[in-house]
Amino acid sequence: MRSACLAATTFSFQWLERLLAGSKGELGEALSLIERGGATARELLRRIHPYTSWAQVVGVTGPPGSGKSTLVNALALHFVEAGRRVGVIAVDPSSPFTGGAVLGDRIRMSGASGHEGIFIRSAATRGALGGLTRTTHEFARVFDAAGYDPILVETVGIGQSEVDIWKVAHTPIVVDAPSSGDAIQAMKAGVIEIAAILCVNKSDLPGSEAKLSQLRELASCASERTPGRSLPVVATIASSGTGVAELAGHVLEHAVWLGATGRRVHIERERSAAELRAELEAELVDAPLAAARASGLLAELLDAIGTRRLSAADAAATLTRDAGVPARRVVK
Amino acid sequence: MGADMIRVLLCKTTMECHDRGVRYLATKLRDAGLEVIFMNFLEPREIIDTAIEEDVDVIGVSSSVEGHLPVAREVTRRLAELEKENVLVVFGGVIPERDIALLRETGVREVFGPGSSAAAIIEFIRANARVRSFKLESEP
Amino acid sequence: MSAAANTDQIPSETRPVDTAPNPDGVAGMAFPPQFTAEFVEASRALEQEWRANFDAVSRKFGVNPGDYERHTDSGLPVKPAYFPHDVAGQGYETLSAPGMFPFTRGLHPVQYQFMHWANQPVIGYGLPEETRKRMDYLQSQGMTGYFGNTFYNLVYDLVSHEGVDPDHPAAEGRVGQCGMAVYSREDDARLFDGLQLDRINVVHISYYEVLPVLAHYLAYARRRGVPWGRLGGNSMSWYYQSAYVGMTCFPPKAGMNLAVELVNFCTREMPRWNTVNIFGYGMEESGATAVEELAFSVATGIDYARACVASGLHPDQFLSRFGFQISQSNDFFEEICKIRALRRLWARKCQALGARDPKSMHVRIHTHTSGAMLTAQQPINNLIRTTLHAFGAALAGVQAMEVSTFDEALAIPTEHAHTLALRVQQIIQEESGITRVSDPLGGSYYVESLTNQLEAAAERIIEEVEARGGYHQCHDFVRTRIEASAARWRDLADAKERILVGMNKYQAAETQAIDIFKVNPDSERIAVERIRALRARRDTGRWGKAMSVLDDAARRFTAGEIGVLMPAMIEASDADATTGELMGVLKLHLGWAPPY
Repeated sequence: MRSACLAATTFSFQWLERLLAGSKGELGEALSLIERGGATARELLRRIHPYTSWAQVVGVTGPPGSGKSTLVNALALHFVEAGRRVGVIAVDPSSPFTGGAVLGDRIRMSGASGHEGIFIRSAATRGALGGLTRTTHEFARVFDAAGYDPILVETVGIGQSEVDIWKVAHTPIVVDAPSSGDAIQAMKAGVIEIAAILCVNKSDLPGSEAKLSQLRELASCASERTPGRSLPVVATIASSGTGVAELAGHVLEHAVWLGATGRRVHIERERSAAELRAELEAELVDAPLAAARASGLLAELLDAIGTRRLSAADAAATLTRDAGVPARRVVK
Repeated sequence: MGADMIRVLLCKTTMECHDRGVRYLATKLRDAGLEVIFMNFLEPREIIDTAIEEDVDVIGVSSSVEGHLPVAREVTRRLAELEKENVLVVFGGVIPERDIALLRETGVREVFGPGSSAAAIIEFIRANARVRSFKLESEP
Repeated sequence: MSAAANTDQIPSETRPVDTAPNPDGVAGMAFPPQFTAEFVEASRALEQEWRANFDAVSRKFGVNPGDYERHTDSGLPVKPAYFPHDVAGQGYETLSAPGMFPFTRGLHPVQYQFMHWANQPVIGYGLPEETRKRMDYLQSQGMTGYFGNTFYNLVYDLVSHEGVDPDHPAAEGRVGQCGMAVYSREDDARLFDGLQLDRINVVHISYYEVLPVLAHYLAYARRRGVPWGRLGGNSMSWYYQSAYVGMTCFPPKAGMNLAVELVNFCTREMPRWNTVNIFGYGMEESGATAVEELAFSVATGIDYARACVASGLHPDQFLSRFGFQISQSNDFFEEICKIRALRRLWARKCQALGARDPKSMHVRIHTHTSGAMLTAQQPINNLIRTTLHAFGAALAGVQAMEVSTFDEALAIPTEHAHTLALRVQQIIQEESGITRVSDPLGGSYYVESLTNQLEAAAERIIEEVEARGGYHQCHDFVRTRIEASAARWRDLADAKERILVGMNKYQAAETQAIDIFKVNPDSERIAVERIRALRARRDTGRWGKAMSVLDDAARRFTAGEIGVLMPAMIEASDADATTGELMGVLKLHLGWAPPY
């Protein structure tokens, strides 16, 4: 449909070199390629993989209104002032109906935005469930290879699936604010279990003391599961920077603890599992589906399922057979 | 979805208080299936910094309080310097008739006056935004 | 009646309210019910009979009576006709008389019988001498304030609002645009020399640069030998608007503290100066409905008032110097009732805060007719719109007016457009005859009913703001609501459920050719040269010392000390500090960032 501007971008060896050196223009393009997906994207990931290391991925999750963006802004500035190069991935939901999105986190990161040592990328979920994009972990890999560490990931912040942050982040921070009502409500089941740090932001508002003590209670229960480390609860006022240094301190301590206890290895395994799954999905699910859609086979199959001529399992078998995957043995 | 996605940077100067129109446009672009990053800028270089990190296909500048010409000149100049002329630059808002030709001369592709419909803007973007293809050179 | 200087000269026949605070009305005055029970019954029966007739006609137009509904622009339901029983439940003490608590019918026993509202068109563009030319011109065309004085409503330019100097890179193309390029005490001399400062009223329309621009004015006035106590005028203190205006700003709490500093300073030194302007107009322009404009105006007003009380002042010391700038928009009756509801709401809130002087409870209104409702298409139509807006404001009873010019949607006004806007006011004042009667719409069943509806709807929103800790604690809440209203308005316009003549109905192919004002391009160059010359010429030692004192004062201000910042700012201005430099100090200590 778009007639006008065909822009072919060829990534050369020199382009890759500049990317690995942390150059922003190349990094921006690389992230677009990753988002696009496909064979070229996977090839890029393959080539940068040797250059990735242990960049700490810090997740920031919490209900809307808790001030996540402002907190991420403050944290990023703190780390860059300590000499680090900081990557920020700010996730916002895509409209389930139109696929579009207004990515409104960056505008709240005015201090960090444009800073030479900070790279902020706004990303839409694009159909992924939960607070992350399908490619968040791949984004983190690219940032890592480009020398950015830590990498702050701000999630969408709604829904049960916020728990997913632990699959991508070494250090999930769960943020809440006094204005968002009951702590138990806000801390949906599972979310507190994955938290590395709890944070009460906007702690100058009325009700912050109550929220802090509620969270401390929850934290002490959760701490029983991690002997040797108690779950810290930090009060911050992100807009003025209060408590941010303390929070950053806990982030760094967490990285050390993960390394010392061997837990980081465990997390890396989970991340690798997620990446492997994503690769498999791309190869065995997305690609065949896309081909079937393009050829019209998908429409036929969906009709057949809808009119009960075919079961979904049989339809899947058709696609995997066509893709050359060994058929599942049917249990009689 | 990913291959066809158009990313748009919408911005206005921090000196201007009117942002009702451009915020409304952002929601309309979303409703049309585009991704929109919204920002306020003090100096034009902030537009470029953001455009680079977000790797946007379109830059839309809203201006209703004068000062658009220096911004247009700087943004198009920097894009050319960075070899990113295929990024579509459009302006919108209350812009005097006499300045439209001058804006076009700097490289701004279209100017949308106050009566412009969101639909017209979306159509123009769809027809004129770049379509990218990526290629990785083979390893040596 | 006065929006500014001369309240003390108007004979006060208002009954004092300070005896035995009565939450419901004037001390000791209770009213019997307006109607008997039988009359109310009869009125209801009458409405039923009328309604049957109405419904019959409704069916003829193909509208099922059960489906018939109409709303005001802010969504309040209105009936096709009103009857006495619609106001039967209301105690008459909520209306009382003009000039009596709760002032629903007007602030004073008189309205326009002896003196018209003040003409206060906004003026400001280019160099100070260019603005001065327009000031003199409009004054010659009959722009009149109170008691024959002239009120100058002056707006500063974009560069000033950002708090930078005209030679800052971001200022290119914006110097003297949308306002005057005034950045120093010297510029004030170019603007005001030759005018009698104690006979004029000067409104300083700034955004966040409130203290610096006032500092320049005071330093200038002192050099001219005019005591500050004799100066009349207004400072805006619009810090709270950062909830819904996307400009760089001070954090909400810091902004409020700056207002408290100014209020304290003026309470001591400038009893004729108006310190805080509640800018409902800005809310409406950003998309707020009449209900929201009403609610947020009251909420932010009491938030600031509370902060002033917390600083050690009694409400009667400062509340009479709070002013309101309210929008007058399309929905003719809703906008009128909004003003009546505002007067009643504010009076009650102030009384609850501890005010006893009636002047402390007054809503002195400067009307700014709507800009957002004006169109760029067929701009001459805007002359008709602004006439209706001004007429509505006059019927509601306001103290001063700025009527938007018809080319508002396109540029700042030409001389011709400015003059016509003045004529709108003058024709209403001189030819329509409405100035003979106070609160002419009072008692209308519709008007009183709608006033009550607006008040109730606004109270609900105010409660939500207060539950969140007060206006300055819930900027997100305010912004979300206003943005939602703005989006709704736009969707209705797109769907043609809200008509804008010339835009989505009765469009015309021909364009109306009108002159568009253009700022002299040389003005920017001259302003930049002047600021550089000022810096080169000034006594650097004296300036440096004053800036260092100001820096220290700002530090103490941030630590909570009131009373050191403003004096230090005035001395720095006197030592030829510029607005950009003064703002620079504030930004450093208070923080300066986009609001959202």
